[in-house]
Amino acid sequence: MAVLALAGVSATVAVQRADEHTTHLREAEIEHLRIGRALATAESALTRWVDQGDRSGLRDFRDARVYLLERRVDLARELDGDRSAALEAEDEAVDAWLDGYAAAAEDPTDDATTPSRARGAALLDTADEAYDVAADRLTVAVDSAATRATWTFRVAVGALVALGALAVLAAQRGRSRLVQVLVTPLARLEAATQHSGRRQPGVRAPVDGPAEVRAIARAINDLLGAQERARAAERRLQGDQRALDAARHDFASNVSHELRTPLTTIHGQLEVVADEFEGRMDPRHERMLAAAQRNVERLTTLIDDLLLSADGSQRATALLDTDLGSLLAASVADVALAAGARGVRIEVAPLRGSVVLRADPPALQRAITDLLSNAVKFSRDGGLVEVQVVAGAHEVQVMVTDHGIGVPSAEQPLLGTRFFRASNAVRLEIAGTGLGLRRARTAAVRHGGDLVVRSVEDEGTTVTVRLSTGAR
Amino acid sequence: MARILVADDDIDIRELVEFKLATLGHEITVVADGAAAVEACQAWRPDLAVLDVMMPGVSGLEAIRAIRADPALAGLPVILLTARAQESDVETGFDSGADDYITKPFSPRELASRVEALLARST
Repeated sequence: MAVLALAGVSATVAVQRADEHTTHLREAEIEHLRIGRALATAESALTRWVDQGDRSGLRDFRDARVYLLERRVDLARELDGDRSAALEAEDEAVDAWLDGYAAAAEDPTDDATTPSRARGAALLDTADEAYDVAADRLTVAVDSAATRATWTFRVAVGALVALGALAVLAAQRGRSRLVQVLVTPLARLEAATQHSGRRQPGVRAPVDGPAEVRAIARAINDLLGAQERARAAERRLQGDQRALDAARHDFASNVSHELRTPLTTIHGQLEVVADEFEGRMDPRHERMLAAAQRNVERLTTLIDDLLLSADGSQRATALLDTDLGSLLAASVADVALAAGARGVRIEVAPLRGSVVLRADPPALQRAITDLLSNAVKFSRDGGLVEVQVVAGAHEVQVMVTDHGIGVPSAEQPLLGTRFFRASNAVRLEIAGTGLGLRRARTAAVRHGGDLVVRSVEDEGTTVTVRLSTGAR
Repeated sequence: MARILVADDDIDIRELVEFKLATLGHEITVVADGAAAVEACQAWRPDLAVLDVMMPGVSGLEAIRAIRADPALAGLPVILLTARAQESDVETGFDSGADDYITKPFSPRELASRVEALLARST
């Protein structure tokens, strides 16, 4: 860039100098013309004086002579000492006329020194000729100077253009060299980050190349180190999580075994006693035995709920193409006994065709059973539970509606929190753990949907489960 | 009339199962752990075995594997009693070679009907 600027300045100076020289020569030419006019004026004024004795002629001649000599000085200044031989000859010839004839002609009283007119005319002719030669020389000099200036300008412009082109080329070559210097280390950096992307531990970017690239490499290496530490921490956490899941599963299994074994015994013994003494007991003993059996079953349900919520919610399960119709039928069968005992009818609106969705069948069936079981529990004796399915391309809605006790509006925000039970359900001594709805909601979310409860106290409740069909 | 082996570490369950199956007219032998169950199967040659899954020492699942490994006992019908209702455990039960399983708490009546069904199928 500096070279280009220097070249630009030099070119400008050269063009300016050439222009100045031309201007000076033009000024010189003008001065020379004035000298020619002054010479002519001097001659005609002198003639007026010599021939007619007109004193104004003498005065004019003297003015013209002064003027002529002044112009000669100006001309010399314009030419800056570079006077041609023709100008020298002209000056000599004019001086010869001025000194050899005009000076004597100024004073006609002295007849002896009065030069002949013929001599004056001859001297003037010589001066005129010399003048013409000098004038031609000046014109030629002006023309050639002007031409030179034009060429200087052209050459300067050409040189600048060429230099500019050279500068562009140089910049490109410099850039390609820069690219070469940068590309190799940058490509290695990219390779390192890609290795890291493929989770290859211990990969580091080589710290070489230009300082800027080295700085980037160090920053990337810091980042890679931090990433590896984060991954290690993540793996530790995953391991801990798996261990925790396994421990929870084992705990659930153990507790389940410990609780169910005595329940099995009680349940079985009650059954055997009932079988053995069938028809031989007092009615009040039969009632007490039936109550004992009912409570054992209730205890079993509560334990199942607790253990499922302790163990079942986190396990990853495979999603299978699942027929919603058969799932619903199975859930209805599960609660049919409880519903029948209280005269509650369950009506499933006929499905339009088969509805298939990607689901974890046991989890989804448990969720629907939970909702149906709730609907039956919170219905009044002889009530109606309605089940409706709305199937779309990407989403299926299952709506379970009862016309039972409902949920007080103030408590509705708490629905689905663990162990929450509505106050009216507690007051009416309706058995439950406050886990079913929560489990159903968890299942809905795991099936890419959600669960919405709409309820009016003493009128009933509609639970809508939205499920993704898993279709893409 | 069949010979049935019952293995459970809980004495009340043993008695209950023994009582229920005996009332059906079967001959019952009871043991309290898996190792004893395998020995009894080899020595006594029952027609059917009822095994609890969770027993100290050799579990019901391990006992089934041992029984199936014995060519003389490979066809012995086995019912598992399990406290586990989780699907993965049920699958494990079938994978291990059980013919049927009943989750606790079970009804003695139901156990009796499963036993009769299995005996009818295997003879």
